[in-house]
Amino acid sequence: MKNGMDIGGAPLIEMTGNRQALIEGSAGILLYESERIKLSTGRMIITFCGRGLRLRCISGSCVEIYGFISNIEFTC
Amino acid sequence: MLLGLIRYVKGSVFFRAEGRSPERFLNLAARNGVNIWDAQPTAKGIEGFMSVRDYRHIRPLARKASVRARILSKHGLPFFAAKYKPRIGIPIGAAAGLALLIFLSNFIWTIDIAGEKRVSESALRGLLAESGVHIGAYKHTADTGQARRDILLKVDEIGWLSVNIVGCHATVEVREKTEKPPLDNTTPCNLKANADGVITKIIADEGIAQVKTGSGAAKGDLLVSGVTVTKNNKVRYVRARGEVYADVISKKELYLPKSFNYISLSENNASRRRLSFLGFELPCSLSFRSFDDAVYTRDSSFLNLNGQSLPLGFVTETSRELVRKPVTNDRQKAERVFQRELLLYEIFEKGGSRLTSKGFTIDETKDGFTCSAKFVFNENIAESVDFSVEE
Repeated sequence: MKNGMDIGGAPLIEMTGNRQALIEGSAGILLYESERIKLSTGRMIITFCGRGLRLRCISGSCVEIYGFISNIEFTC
Repeated sequence: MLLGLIRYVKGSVFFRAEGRSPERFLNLAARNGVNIWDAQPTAKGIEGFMSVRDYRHIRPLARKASVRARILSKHGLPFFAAKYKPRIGIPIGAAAGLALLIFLSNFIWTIDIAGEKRVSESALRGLLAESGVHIGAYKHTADTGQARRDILLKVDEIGWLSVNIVGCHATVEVREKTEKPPLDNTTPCNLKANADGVITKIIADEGIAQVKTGSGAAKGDLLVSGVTVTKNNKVRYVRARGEVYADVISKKELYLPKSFNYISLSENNASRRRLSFLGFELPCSLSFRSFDDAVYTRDSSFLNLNGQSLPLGFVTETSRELVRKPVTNDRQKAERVFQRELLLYEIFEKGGSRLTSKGFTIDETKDGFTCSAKFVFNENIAESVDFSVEE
């Protein structure tokens, strides 16, 4: 516990503008559409909304999203 | 770039997975170490790329995710190789061609010589060949430094030389020495006669003439003296300059045998063609004709590409038969031959002289004819002879 927040195990999201997002700590893909990609990270669900969204690379716990990202939602 | 190359070498498939839960299929694939790239959603599922090796192991995963995966297209070297497997000659030929290319790139194909003006290019090529730099030479053992040193030692006219081998092309750059300007000779000298004759004209630009028109002069006689006297009766030594013309008698003896063998080319010849490549020659035609006495001509025609002559072409060697025909000469014929010879003597040996008179007699002997010709040429007989002055 540090400063009252527990961030251990939280996903790491690295973005390049709104065109590319690299998510480390993904537990699985829940929805894959060209306008919406929903990822589970265990504690929460992250939803990427936009246009022409594509999964460029998928590995064990890492997902790379490519496209025009207009909105990111976090659902706990 | 590198990743693309690795994927090309390993081979990949473009697949489509359709079914109840394509997302689950992606998750299962990721968890089982199956690498999927460029995945894109479609109306009923997903499409994407994966390696050939991974595709062989996705059947259970697809069944678990209730999707049906099928290949849409195949990419990469394994598929390319499989396509041409029945035509095994093509890859073998390609490999052989590549090996040949690598092998032949170890030899010198062309030699370019630039910058020579007075020195003959063919002589330079000969010297380079003596030093091991020639067309067809193994370029890794060709010692360009040694060739450079050898040529600089052998050819005086060359002041600087560089021999460079770039790829299969040898470039030789030559800088010739600058010619020394003629030195202004100030050594005192006399003009002396270089032949016997009767003086007809004297032009003494410098010095004092010692002979007069009409007087005779023997070889070695002083014609124009370099020793002059000033107005103050002091001796002054100069470099005598001038021209002294004299009628000089010149004799010429010629001989023509009554009968001799005249050698000429006959119509018979034999040509042999050879394919030449990097200095090696391979016979291309057969000719069994041979002559006891023959002259040979060699004609080469090489492939020219972008102004560069390549060491690939044909060499044609032609031997032409020589025939010996006995010829007999009579007096009339001998006279014609002698007149022609004497005319050539006048033109080429006495070109700078003016012919004053000419006469010849022909004597017949047992074996042939002799011609005794007597010419009188009007020519400059003055010759500079230096002398030393000691104080």
